[in-house]
Amino acid sequence: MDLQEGARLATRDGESVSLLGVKLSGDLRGLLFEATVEQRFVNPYDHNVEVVYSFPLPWGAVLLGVEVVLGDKRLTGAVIEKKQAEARYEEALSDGNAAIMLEKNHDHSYSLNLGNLAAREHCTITLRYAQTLQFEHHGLRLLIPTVIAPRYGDAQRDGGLLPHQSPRHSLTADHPFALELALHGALAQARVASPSHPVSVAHGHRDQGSVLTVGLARRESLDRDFVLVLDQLPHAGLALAAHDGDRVAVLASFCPRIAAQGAATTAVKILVDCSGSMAGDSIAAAQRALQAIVRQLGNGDRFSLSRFGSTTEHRARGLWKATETTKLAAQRWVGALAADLGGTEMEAALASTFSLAQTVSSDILLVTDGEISAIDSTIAAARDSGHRLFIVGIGSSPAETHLRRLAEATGGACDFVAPGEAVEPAVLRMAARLRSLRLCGLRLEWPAGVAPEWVSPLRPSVFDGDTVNVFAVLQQMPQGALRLLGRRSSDGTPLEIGAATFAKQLETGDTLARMAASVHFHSVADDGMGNPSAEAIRLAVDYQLVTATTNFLLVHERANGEKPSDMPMLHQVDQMLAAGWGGTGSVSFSRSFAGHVGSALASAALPGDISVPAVWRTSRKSGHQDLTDRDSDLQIPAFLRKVTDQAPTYIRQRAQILNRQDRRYWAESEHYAGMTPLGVCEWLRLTPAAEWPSTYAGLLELGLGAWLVDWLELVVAGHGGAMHAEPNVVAAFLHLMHLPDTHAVLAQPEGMRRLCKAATLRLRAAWAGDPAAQADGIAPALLDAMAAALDGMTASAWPNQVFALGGEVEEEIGTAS
Amino acid sequence: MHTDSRSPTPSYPLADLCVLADLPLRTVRYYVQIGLVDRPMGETRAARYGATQLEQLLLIKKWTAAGLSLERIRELLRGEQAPVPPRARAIGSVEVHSHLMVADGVDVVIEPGRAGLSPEQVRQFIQGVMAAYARVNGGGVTPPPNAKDKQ
Repeated sequence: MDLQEGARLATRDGESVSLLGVKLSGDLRGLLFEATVEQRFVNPYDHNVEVVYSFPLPWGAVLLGVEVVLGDKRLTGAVIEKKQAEARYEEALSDGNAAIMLEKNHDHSYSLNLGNLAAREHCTITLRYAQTLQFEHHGLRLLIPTVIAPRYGDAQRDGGLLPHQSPRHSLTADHPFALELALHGALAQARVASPSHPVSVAHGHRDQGSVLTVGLARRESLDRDFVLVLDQLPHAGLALAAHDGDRVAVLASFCPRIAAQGAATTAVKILVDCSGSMAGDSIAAAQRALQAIVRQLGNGDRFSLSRFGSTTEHRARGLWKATETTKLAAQRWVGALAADLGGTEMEAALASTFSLAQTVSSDILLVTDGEISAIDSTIAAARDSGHRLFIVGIGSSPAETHLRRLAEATGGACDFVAPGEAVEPAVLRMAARLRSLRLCGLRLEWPAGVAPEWVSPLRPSVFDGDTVNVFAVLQQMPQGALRLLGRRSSDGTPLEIGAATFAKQLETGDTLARMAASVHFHSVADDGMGNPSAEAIRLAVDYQLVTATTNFLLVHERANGEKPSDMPMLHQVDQMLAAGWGGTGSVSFSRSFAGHVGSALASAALPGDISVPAVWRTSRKSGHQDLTDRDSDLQIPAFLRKVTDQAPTYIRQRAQILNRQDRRYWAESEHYAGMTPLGVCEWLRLTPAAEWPSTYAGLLELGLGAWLVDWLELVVAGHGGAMHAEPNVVAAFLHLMHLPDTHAVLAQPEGMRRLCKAATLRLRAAWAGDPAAQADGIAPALLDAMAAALDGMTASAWPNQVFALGGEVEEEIGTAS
Repeated sequence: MHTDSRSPTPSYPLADLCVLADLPLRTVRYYVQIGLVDRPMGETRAARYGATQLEQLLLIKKWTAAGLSLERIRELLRGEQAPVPPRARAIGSVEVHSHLMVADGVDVVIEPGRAGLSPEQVRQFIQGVMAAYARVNGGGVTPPPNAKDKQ
């Protein structure tokens, strides 16, 4: 019997569901968020099963406790070293006992293993976690991930997951989700909104003051991250302390104020994810974000535009200066973005973008959903490049952990935009960070007499208005204020950019101490050789932290008569498909939708398995349309119509130029796709002037690259402050390309051409004094300017000036082939 | 797999099998659970694995290293022939796709030739799709074009 098949079919009948629902309740006090997640499972079968459920927790969340109710028994386990836990789990299963193990996966998600649930047995797992939040420009964004969206790449080979941990996805899975949050103290007065879910909000009072309760207004499912945005909050530095055994654990939180010195400029390379998973809501949000980014570019700023999927395409060959022309070209480019580039080869795309204009110090602005498996190698490559990565995470369930790690490793920052959420705040924050001063030599100044035993490492960069959290372990309760200092340049004087005063009283509970231990764990986790260090394991076990090197384990011995005799059947809980993922419906319609999708779809004829989305299975086809494909279109010009063998020679030669197969006439690289100069020249020689195109659209239809036409339209047409009419610009361009001298230069073999620079000079001379052009009514100044810009073109490549759009290219890389 | 010809089968406990195949215990057990590797003889602690399972594991290990998916490996282990890859569509070939409109914004695209469907089957399929759409859309968000009631 095919057991996996069996399990899968069983979940589709609408009854045999193993995950009954998830309920989250949370308390937000200051910057500390504490949550309790209750996951209810049942074994729907008549035999024993092993249920495996992989789920995400927020970035930086510290798992504090696991409680298990198996049947009607309340049980507790312990955190032990990973290998030991795995061995004891296997042992328990082969002995017929029940075992529950929670492990932290390589991609920072968690997998819960419920080994040997007896037939029809219920099990409730209650997880407790805490995280510190960070203010971003007087706002707070609470993000609770609920689902792992499908990722590009192999989860095992690229993502380092074991087979049983790899998430599987189903369009018919439906796991109910309930949520209740309480906002305490000053936060109860904040303005709150959820861009992800309709929420109900109620003010109330509890024993310690006012409380704002936030709940879900409707029945919801685990198919999108819960986002709560709080703004209009005052924030000042704050330091908390709590007992940590015989010592004191400290959390200091700064809100640095960094005065800007004049209007800072920025050099930013914009890179957009156009893979299939971005289709639908995500690409629309990305476009809105990018339009806002382009709008705020000003004088002195420089930028480039690139997009990626399976391949990478660069709009500019270097960095453009921000001018009206380049910004207009950028807005056109953004408007035309589509999620049509297939897979998500992020590492290759970043490498290709890093290599643009290398001599200029620049940052990267990456817009993506982050859904890739191969994140580790991507982070390593980005860290080595010396670029800071500023990331705008898009989608209803972006890979938060991946993107935060990537931004943090490079000294950049990360912001998220949910579908339907206004993009401007995130974009403005990002723009401010890009322009923010780079401070160096960050350090802490402790009150006199305080010598911390351990302090968490400071992040390499701080930004105006963004929180910096620091954990430390001290010998005794500190008094006074802790100061954060930084320097504007390596020899500048240290400036105070933030201060935090210690609270008078110690906090109760062990949460703070264990969170400090978790941060401590991560700073010593590696012994430098990729192995977990002994100190890290000791910390994790002492403080009972579920980490990469420790698992939570609970073994429940079953009575002899209840022990199953065979290996449990495997039941992996399918992830719901993240809402709107890859264009599967639009989240904006969820608001008015009242039905139950899951139950209605379960019986409908749907494709059996969407765990490998179609966009990943298909290999990308080049964007070209074959000549013969156009047969059905009656609108096509004569020169594009089908060519038979009986056609005259010149017609067949023209067809060869236009069929886009011949590399001499057709270029396709990451910098340009379209006809080459030689292709245009040869085509003009074979075609009577009456059939030449006279509009920009006609040039595009002929096969000239869109970016070349942009240049004609945006730069050449406005040359010298005059507005040249469209037919004149097109005619001038074609005229130049058609000159016998142009052909003489282009038709020479590439190697030869380098030797005779004289030929180029001759060409310009011929262009300049051409009487025929004047007869056509083309302004000589226009011809001159165009000739100057086209100087340096080769048979296969247009010159770089064409792509610079008048904004000077800072550095030119190899010409497109 | 041809297991009948193998007579004196060596029998290993699960742990030994994992050492021989050099795979983590959990992974081996996963392969058994999803049916890639044959189930053992005997129960719980007494379960024993033989040369067949070891051979299967080594093949799986080789094929996963070569980048094959577990689904593909399942097919190969069952001895299925590699299916002939579908021929790439010839350039210039004409394909007719039917765009069947289920509702405004919902189209089903069918190329009956490639799908191997008869007109009756297409009709049946599309009726099913429309019924499913109507069920999902139960509230009547988009009334049929000639419906008189306006909400």
